[in-house]
Amino acid sequence: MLKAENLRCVYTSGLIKTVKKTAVCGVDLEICPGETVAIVGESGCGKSTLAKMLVQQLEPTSGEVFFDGTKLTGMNWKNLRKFMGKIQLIPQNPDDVVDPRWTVERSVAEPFVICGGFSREEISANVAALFEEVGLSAEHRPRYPHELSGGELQRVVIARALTLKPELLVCDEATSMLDVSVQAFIVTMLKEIQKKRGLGLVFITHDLEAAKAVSDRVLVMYAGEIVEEGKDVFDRPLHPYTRALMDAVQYASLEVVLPEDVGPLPDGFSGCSYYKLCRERTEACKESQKLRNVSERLVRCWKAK
Amino acid sequence: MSDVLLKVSGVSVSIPTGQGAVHAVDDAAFSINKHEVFSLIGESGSGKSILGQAIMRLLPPNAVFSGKVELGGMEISALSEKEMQKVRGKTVASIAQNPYLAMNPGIRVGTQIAEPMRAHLGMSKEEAKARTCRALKYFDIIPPEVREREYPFQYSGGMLQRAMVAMGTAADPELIIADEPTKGVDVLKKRNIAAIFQKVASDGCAFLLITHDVGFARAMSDRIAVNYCGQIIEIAGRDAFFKEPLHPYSQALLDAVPERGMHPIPGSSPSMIEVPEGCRFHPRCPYKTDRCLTNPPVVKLEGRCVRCWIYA
Repeated sequence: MLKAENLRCVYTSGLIKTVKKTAVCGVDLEICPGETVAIVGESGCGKSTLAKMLVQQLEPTSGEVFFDGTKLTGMNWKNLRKFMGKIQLIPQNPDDVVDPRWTVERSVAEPFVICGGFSREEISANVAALFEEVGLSAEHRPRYPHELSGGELQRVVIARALTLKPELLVCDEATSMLDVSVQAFIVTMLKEIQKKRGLGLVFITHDLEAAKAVSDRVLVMYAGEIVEEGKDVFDRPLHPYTRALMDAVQYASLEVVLPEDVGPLPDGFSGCSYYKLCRERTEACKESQKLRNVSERLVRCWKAK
Repeated sequence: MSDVLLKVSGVSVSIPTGQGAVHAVDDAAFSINKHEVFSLIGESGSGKSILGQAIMRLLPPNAVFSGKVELGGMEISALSEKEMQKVRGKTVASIAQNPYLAMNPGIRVGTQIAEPMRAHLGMSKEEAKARTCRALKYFDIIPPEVREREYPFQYSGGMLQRAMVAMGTAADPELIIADEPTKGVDVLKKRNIAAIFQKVASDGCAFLLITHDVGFARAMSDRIAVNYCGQIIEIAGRDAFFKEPLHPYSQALLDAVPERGMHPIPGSSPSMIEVPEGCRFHPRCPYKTDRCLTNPPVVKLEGRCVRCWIYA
């Protein structure tokens, strides 16, 4: 359904001393209808940048995004608008989406108004149905965002994302600031909605346990690259970085090295991006690494078997 | 018992608001032994942080406090503010959630770490500086002589977190209160925080961890207390708690964790202004009976206690 090819994003800052930072480099991705894909990785690995490029909020530096075979990147705004409703983003912080001076009901109704072609009664009936779908009662509707708890507000944002009957939802850390019980509620609800509507779901998170619990397929990102992709990644991690993440979840080895402690890779280094932190590095890791197909899995490490 | 470090008995805190008083803490009672890591877990808005602030005597000015907090045999809840200043930072220190907000951006990191030593241990500038360098080195902030003279913005996030722990432990406190140290932090950084906390705990410092992260509490603590709607509903040893939680809320909370299948708790958290009558969990409890409408007793069972009628 959604297909991304060789997506790259480079942020530049500074006028005179221009600094270039590659956030995402060469990501290929394909999502089928009804499938849940989890993208995991530490903060700063380019997960959110990737999400923004998938929903067309950010123009990629190079690479293409296709939706049902139609190329979205480079399309003009007027044509793109037809597709915007089909792919929706649910951000980490629900406060970023809803206007604090509007009632939540009005925020949810806004997409109908923008699209046009709905009578007032239709809008009100649709909004009521959406509130019911996300488990909010009628008394929540006339409230303002500050009168709702974090979990309730996140449900409002999901209701708003569902207005235009999307085919793909991209959840960017949608539950990582919430309590476990609220997180469980939101995730269960998203899965139910997915089943009912046959949505594709992209679940971006740094919580590996949550990713494991919800997803059909997992992509592990490190430094803007996909280092591992497959179905049972967490049961049988092949890339050293995935193994390090798994250790961290179980608080297994307490010897901790953070990327910021070892500093950036030297200029012109074209080898494995995990080279400096990898415990199993050898001379051969200085060669550039390609995603290889290893037993139904894609791994960016020459050692993986 | 002489090895009890902190004893909290009958502490209640309510905060008056426009809609009525918020009963943030109701009849909290627990004790922390020396060298013990004690976790207080619960959902956001259940009054965990307020309880931490009540122990440190850092409550908002309009909060109404009642009860007794004893630290090493001294009743700190009865001290004057001036006397409390000698305890705060010396015997009990706190580590804030966000190091960027907790550090003063205009003061060198070394000076900030040295401040408790200068204030509480009466050290000279030189002594404090030498000790600051040792502390920085201990937490892998190297080279310490250079780093000591830098400002917070020159530190990376993980380093600043370690510098904060160095500041909290500067005057050798006996108890550290850490409020939500892992909120919104990714797995690798979380493990980093766990590692430095364990390093400090192995030196004999007791911890009160206030967190909603069940996995973190499991990795770190000796004993666990569960907070629900302002009340502590269960206190148990870590292994016993994770093997067999007693209170229905504790069971539901553990079932909501991703490893155990993410089963949401039915219903929603009650309002802290109009708290449910009797057991505060009864509207959401699958085992509720008529007696749950009256206040449940705190039942003591071998080494743990639970506030529920089932075990009465």
